[in-house]
This record gives sequence, C-alpha cells and structure tokens, in this order.
Amino acid sequence: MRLDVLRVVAGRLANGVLVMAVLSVLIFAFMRAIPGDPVLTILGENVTTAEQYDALRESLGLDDPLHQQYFSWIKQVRQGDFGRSIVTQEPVLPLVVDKLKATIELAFFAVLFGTVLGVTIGAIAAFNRNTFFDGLATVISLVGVSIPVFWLGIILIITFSVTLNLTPIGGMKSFDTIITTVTGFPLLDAILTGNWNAVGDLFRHLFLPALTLGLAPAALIARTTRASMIEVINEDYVKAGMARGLRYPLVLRRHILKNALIPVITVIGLELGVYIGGSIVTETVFSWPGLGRQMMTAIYDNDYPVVQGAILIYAVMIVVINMLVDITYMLVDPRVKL
Amino acid sequence: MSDPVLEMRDFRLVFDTYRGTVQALEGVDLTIYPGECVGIVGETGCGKSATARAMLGFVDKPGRVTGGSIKINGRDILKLRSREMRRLRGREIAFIFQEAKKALNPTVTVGTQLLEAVQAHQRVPRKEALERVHEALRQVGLADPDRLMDSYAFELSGGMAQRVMIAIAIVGNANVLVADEPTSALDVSIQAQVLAVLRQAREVTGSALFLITHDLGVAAENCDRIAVMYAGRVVENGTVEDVFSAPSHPYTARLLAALPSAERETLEAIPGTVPDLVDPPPGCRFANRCEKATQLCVEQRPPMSAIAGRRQQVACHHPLVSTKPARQETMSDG
Amino acid sequence: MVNDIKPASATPAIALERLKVHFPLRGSGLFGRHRKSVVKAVDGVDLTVGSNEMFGLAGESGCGKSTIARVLIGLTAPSEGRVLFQGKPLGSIADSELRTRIQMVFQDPYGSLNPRRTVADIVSDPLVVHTRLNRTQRLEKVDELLEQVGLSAHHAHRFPHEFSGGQRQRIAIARALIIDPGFLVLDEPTSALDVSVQAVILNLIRRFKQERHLGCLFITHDLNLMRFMTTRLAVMYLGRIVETGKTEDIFRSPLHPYTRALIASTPQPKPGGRAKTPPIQGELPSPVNPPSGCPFHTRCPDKIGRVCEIEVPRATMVDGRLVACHLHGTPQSESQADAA
Repeated sequence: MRLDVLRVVAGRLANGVLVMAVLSVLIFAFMRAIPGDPVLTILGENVTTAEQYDALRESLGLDDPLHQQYFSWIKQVRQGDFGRSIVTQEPVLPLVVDKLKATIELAFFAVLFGTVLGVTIGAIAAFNRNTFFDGLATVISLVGVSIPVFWLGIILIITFSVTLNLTPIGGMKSFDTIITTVTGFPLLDAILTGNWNAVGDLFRHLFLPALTLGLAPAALIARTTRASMIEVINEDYVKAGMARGLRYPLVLRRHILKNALIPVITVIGLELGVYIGGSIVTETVFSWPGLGRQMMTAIYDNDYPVVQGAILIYAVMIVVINMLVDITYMLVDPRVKL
Repeated sequence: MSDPVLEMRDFRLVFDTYRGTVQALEGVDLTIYPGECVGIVGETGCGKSATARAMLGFVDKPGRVTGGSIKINGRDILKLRSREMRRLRGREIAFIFQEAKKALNPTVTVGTQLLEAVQAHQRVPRKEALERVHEALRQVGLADPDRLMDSYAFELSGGMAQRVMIAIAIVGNANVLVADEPTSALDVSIQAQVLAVLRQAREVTGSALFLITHDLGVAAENCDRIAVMYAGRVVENGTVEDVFSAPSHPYTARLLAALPSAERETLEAIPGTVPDLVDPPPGCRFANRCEKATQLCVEQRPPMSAIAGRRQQVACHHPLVSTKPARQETMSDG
Repeated sequence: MVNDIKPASATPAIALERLKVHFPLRGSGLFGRHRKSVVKAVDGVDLTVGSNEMFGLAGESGCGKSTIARVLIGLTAPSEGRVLFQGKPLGSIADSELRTRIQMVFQDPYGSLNPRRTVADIVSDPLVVHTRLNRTQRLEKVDELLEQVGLSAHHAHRFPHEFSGGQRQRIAIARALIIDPGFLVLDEPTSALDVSVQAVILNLIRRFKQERHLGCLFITHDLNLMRFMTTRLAVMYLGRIVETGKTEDIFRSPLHPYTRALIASTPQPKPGGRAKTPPIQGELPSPVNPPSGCPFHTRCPDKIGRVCEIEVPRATMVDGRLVACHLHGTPQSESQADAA
C-alpha cells in the first residue's frame, strides 16, 4: 500500500467523523422539529387515556430533555446500537443494513449503466464532432439531465410494463422467487447459489429502476466525456504517440482514454451522491425494498430511530465513496497529491 | 551526391474555413540529404509548422492536401495507406515538438513512452528494448536512466523533457528528424545545451534534421542550409553562409535588417502586412510590401531559380544583386 | 555593502536598496502542518536607473526580473529593503500618484487588453482615473496618442481582437504614455512578436524615450535585444544581480562567468557562427532552496573553490562596473567601490 494513499484514507476518515458528528445533531434536531407524534402513530385510534399515552411516551424515553435524548442516542450509536424502530420494535441497525444492500445493488447497476452508456456516447460524439450524431447526443444529454427522475420512472413503467408488458411494474423479485441468503445481496446470492431462474427474475425487476436512476448521470457523464475527449485528442502527446508509429488502439487506450477519463471519474464520484438521493425517489416509484423507501416510510411514521439510522448510514456511504474517488484519482493521475 | 532522404515537391495544402479556402501552402519545394541540417525559417503564419507536420503525414481537418508529393527515402507518403504511413513514423521519420512537456503523456511514465518507440515497429525482448532506451538516454546526456524512466513529465524540467523527446526520436533510428521550434520554450543556456545534444546525437545516428525555427540565430548556428518561407511559399533557400551574407530575396534581406544588433542604429521594420491567403494575389506574395515590386511581381508568380555559382535559389523577379563575388566551386542541387 | 554605479543625473528616477521579495509557499499536508518554505524571488538587489536612461534587466526565467517590475508598479510589496522613486520612498507615494508616474507595458499583447472594451476606453482609462478632463478632451488625447504610436483615430472605436499582436502592443504603449509618466517599465514587450513587428515596436519605444525623456526599465531575456536597446544593464541570476555596468562594456568583456555564459549562449544570426559546445552545464537550481554561497557555483565553469560554496560574493567595482564574483573580489577593488 502506498503511504500517500494511507494518508488520504486517514485524513478522509477523520473528516468523516467530524461530518457525522455535525450531521447527527442536525438529524436529531430536524426529526424533533417536524410535526407529528410517534406516540400517536403507534397508538393510532386506540388512545383511551392520558395515562396510557404518558406511559408509552415515558417507555420510549421521549419525555426526557432533548439534549439528554441526544446524548443517550449517541452513546448507543457508538456502541453499534441504533435503537429499535418505534413502530415495529425491530432493531434498527440490521434493518437498515439489510435494506442498504438492496439499495447498493440497484445503485451498482445504475452506475454501471450510466457509466457505460455515458462514456460510449460521449466518446463517439467526440470522435464525430459537429456531425448529426454529435448534435443528437447533445440534445439527448440535455433532455436526460432535465427530466425529473419520478416522471421518467412513471413513463418507463407505462411504456415497458403496462403497454409492452416486458418488465414487472415494481418490486425486487416475483412473489414466488425464493433466494437463499448468503451475503444479503439478492442478485449476488442467486448467482452464488446457482439459482439462474432467480437471476433472470431479479434482472427483469432491476432493469427499469436501474435505467431510471442511471439515465440522468449517463447524460452528464456523456457530456463530460465528450468535452474532455475533444481536449485530449488535440494534445501534443497524442500526436507524439502517433509520430512514434504506435498502433491506433494503443494510442486510444493509453494516451487518449486514460487521460480523458480522469475528469469523468470526478463526475462519477459526484454522481454517486446523486444516485443515493435519486434512489429514494426511484425506490418509491418502483416499490424497491431499499433504504430509500424504508426511510420514506419511517419519515411518514415519525419513526425517529429508523430515520436517524438511515441518514447516518447514507452519510457513511458518501464519506466512503468520496474517499474511494480520491484514491482512484491518485492512482490514475500521478500529478495528484492530496 | 547521394539521394535525398526527404523530398517535398510542389506541395499544396489548403484549410477550409468559414471565410473560404485558405491557400496555406502553395507549391513548397524542400530537399534534405543524408546527415544534413536544413533550417526552415519564417514568421508566424508562414506555414513552416504545417509543412513540418505534413512531412509525417499529419494533415488534420480542416487541412487538405491539394497537390504535390513528399518522398521519404524514395516513397511518396501522400500515396501511402494509413497503415503504411504508421510504419514509417518513428522508423524513417521522427518528430520533435516545441513543448516537450506537453508532448509527453502526463499520466504515463517516461520509460513507457521510450519503450513504446522501440516496440512500435518490431517485437523486441524487453531486455533488449531497455538496453536500446538506455543507450538513447546516454546519447542525450541523461544520467541515471532508471530513475528517469520511472518519472512523469511533470517531474522533469523543460530541458530534460526535450532531451527525452530527442531520445524518443533517435531510438527508432529514423534517418530524418523534424524538429518544430524545439528550443523556443527554453531559456538560452538550456537552449544551447539541447541544441548541442541534438547535434551530438545526430553525429552518432547520422540522421538528417529539418529545424523549424523563427530564430534566425538558431538557424545560422545549427544548419547547413536554410529555406526562408513567406506566406506559404519558400522564397529563398541556400547555404547558411550564402543566405546570411548575401540574401537574394528582398524579404530575407528585410528580415535580417529588422534584427536588433549592436552594429545598427535603427531597425528597419517591414511595412505592410501579409496578404489574406483566402484570396491571395496571383503574383509574388511579398509584392505588396516590397519596394522593388513591379507590375510583373503583382501578376506573375516568380519561379524558383538558381543563382549562378552558388548553392542558392530564389523565387524573385528582381533578386538582389549580391555584393559578394560568386564563389568558384559549383554545387549541384535540385 | 553593495553599491551601484550612479547614473549621470543627480537624483535617479528609480533606486532599489537591498530589495528582497520573498513569497511564502503554502505548507503541504492536510492541515498545512509541514514547514513553510519561501521562494526568494528577489534576494537583495541594489540598482539605480537614471531619469532619462534605458536600463536593462537581463536574466533567464525565474531570476526575479519580472518580480522587480511588479514591485515598481506597486503590484507586489517588497519584503525587505527600500524602493525610491525620484528620491522618495515608494511607500510614501500614494498609489494613484505612483500610477501617473510609472507605467508598464506587459509581454502578452493578447492578455493585457480587456477584450470587451474599445481601444478608446482602454487608452483613456488612466485619464479617467487621474485627470479631470472631460470626455471630448480625453478622446482628443486618445486620437493624438494613437497617431503617435502609428495607428489612426478611426481605430479608437474598435475592439482589441480586431488588431494584430504588434498593433495591440502599440495600443498598450499608447495607454502607458497617455498620462505622461516619467518612467516606463517594459517587461519583455516584444517577445510575443515576430521579428519584423518587433522592429516597429522597438523603434517606437526608442523614439518615445528620446522625445519624452523617459526613464525606462527594459526587461528581456534576449541579449541581442538588450545590446541594441539599453545603455546600462544588470544581469540577474536566482534573485541576485551578478553584474551591472555599461551595456557596451559588459558585452565587450563580460566579467561574471554567468554573464559570459549568457552572451556565449545567445545565437547570432550571422554567417559562420557555428554553434560551439554549450558554455554552461546543469539546470537552474530551485529558488526555494537556492545554493549556499554564490548562487551560480553549482554551474560555474570558473569556480575557484570552497569559498564559492560558503561565502556570498560581494559586489565589487571592477573596470567601471559591479561584479558579484569571487574571481573579482579582491579587497583592493572593494575599497575602490566604497570610495566610488
């Protein structure tokens, strides 16, 4: 392991802890500030007496002073205990991690889809600058960036699921598909256990949400790739490579793509944050059993521990992703010193 | 005299722009013999860089070749397919760029790029390729080749980067090198070092060199012959001694008179500007700035003609009378 | 300690006394915890420029010549030492007054003119700030200046992009001269230009210097240009002056090994001038960590020994000029310098 890489990891982790501390206060404050009462949510129509209400409130620890509630929460979190859901009484951490796996699976394919599509379109547009294809790609990218995710999701469902009947309307798998849990990532588990029917089923369910989630980033990646590719193609070192008599595929791979994709890494890194935000909407539209949808439900229910846990996990993800992007950057570009 | 290594005949290049077709190069003739150094001098926009790049078959859009031939070791590269042209690059003709640091890939080590130059044309065992690279690095005066090969362009000084570029150019044993302003981005003391390295390397490899430069001093001190370009044409060529001591084209003379030097009280600027090459005048392109111009100059393009008794040619209807008596020995050229 | 040969006139237009300009580099590391380093761009420079003199500052990139220019026009503050303008310390002159007395022409004719403003606006700017002339009077003055630099009044309402590099440099000169400054700083004014255009600009500068009795600091790396343009010059290396004197003397018999190397390295556009072996080896040391003793000792072909590595050579008067080199540092000549 390179020493400078370790230093970046240490630095980013230290920063991450700071971010988490600030964030935890904000989450805590916001959750208490928004209207709604978890006690009423649990009791629902069954509220009979004030005593009953107070008893439940006390058992949930909600009558303590706010700062005390905060510190006892933090104390628990530090020991890995995110508390229990107010609504279902499930422990929060396993619940959140389980849902996170579904989200990661969706995000992974969205990123893969967005990157492959974006880089390909961008590269083709760059090499065919100022042609019909280039213009078309530009227009499509612009449209892609402008379309709201929820609207796109609905349009895709209407087209592919309702009209063409090619894909399921929502969910992660068909009701009768059973997957043996190994890692908790359904698709990975299905592949590991050799359950190919399940793999097919999962893919059919994955297709539309991944497309929805990946399309806007694909558009941005295409535009970045195009711009940086055009710049690199005109660099002297590309000409110098050709002047040495190198075969074009080598020039393309080592001298053009390697340099042109460096800015694209940044965009993908930034987009990963957007994927996570977008996943909340996408998961809701496609009934994807991920962390985003879980969080939406928890917010409606004023289920403080679940919302707090989910947001903290999201924050950890973003800190880790940023760190990975920085490290990739360092490994790809020798000029980068962080 | 042996056959030329590179011979450019009546080369024509245009650029298609929204304003119209720019007649960038109109009938350029250049010849270089083995081991020779020929300087191509001229001011911004005279076409010297486009000429240099065309020699490697680099004619990028919106450029378009409209005529002529460029023969390298007897083969016209304008008739080659791109695969054949690729085989020529690096092996028969190599290019040295103005800004070496920009001509090195920033994210790939210097060593990889040197090895590429060896391995582009033949399957060489890594060990042998390394030996050849080390040999080339020694020739350009770079000590500690191992450390150097692991470094990146941004870690090198301008002078070191240009030495690396020279090593890349000579490692493939090309017999013509084309250097486009190789030292213009460098300080004078480093320029002197790099030019010396280039000279010494050529003594070993015997390659001919086209040295493209705007600096007449660099041309005078490093070339055997020079060609002066103006507005897309070669207006004069000859040995450095002849051209500098007795310029025969009025443009060359005016250019030399515009150079600051201790002996001069005032500098003579050249009045007027270069004609618009979208619609160039039919005659001599310098006619509008030339005090000796006549109706003939405006109407007819002056042909390149030899000056008696000298290895010098000029494209001018009214060449300057040489104050120096013609030398006795006759030299056969072109 | 270090003296300079005084120019002919009594009060020099510009006097630098032990000028130092040090730029701190940002510390590296996550919280900048590493030791901060300093670039010694100018490290103890003394020089004087007469009020009707064309004084040259020569040297290669990174020697500090442009930093001195920036100090003179108030763009960079000196870290140590004094800058006197007509005998008054720079600090005691208000910025606005300084601008009316010293103007600068920059190297890049494409970057130094605002592309969104007309030539009339650009050239009249100093008048707007520093005079009470009304618009008509200002435009009259602009037309007059444009004529003087070889453009005409109808150019006034065009934009910079409509002009060639040489014409832009004329515009820059017109702007610099419109408020009648007594002193002009010219930082590589022709290095972006072609030879034939350079000639026009150089002639123009010389004419104005003559007509307006301007003091000029002419900065260039091109020694042929230096020889043609200046009457006295200073050669800089790594933030220090290594030799100062009359241009003629220095070119005839350079005393400092660096000066000699620079002159020998400069290609001459003459027949028969075949290049020799390069006069100096090695590269410029980093100004962050300059060599001890004489800054040139790492590359000097005439190094005499340990003394060059340990002791900073003092400027000494030899043959009517100042040299900072141990080769010429006899105590005898030093006392001459003190007397001078």
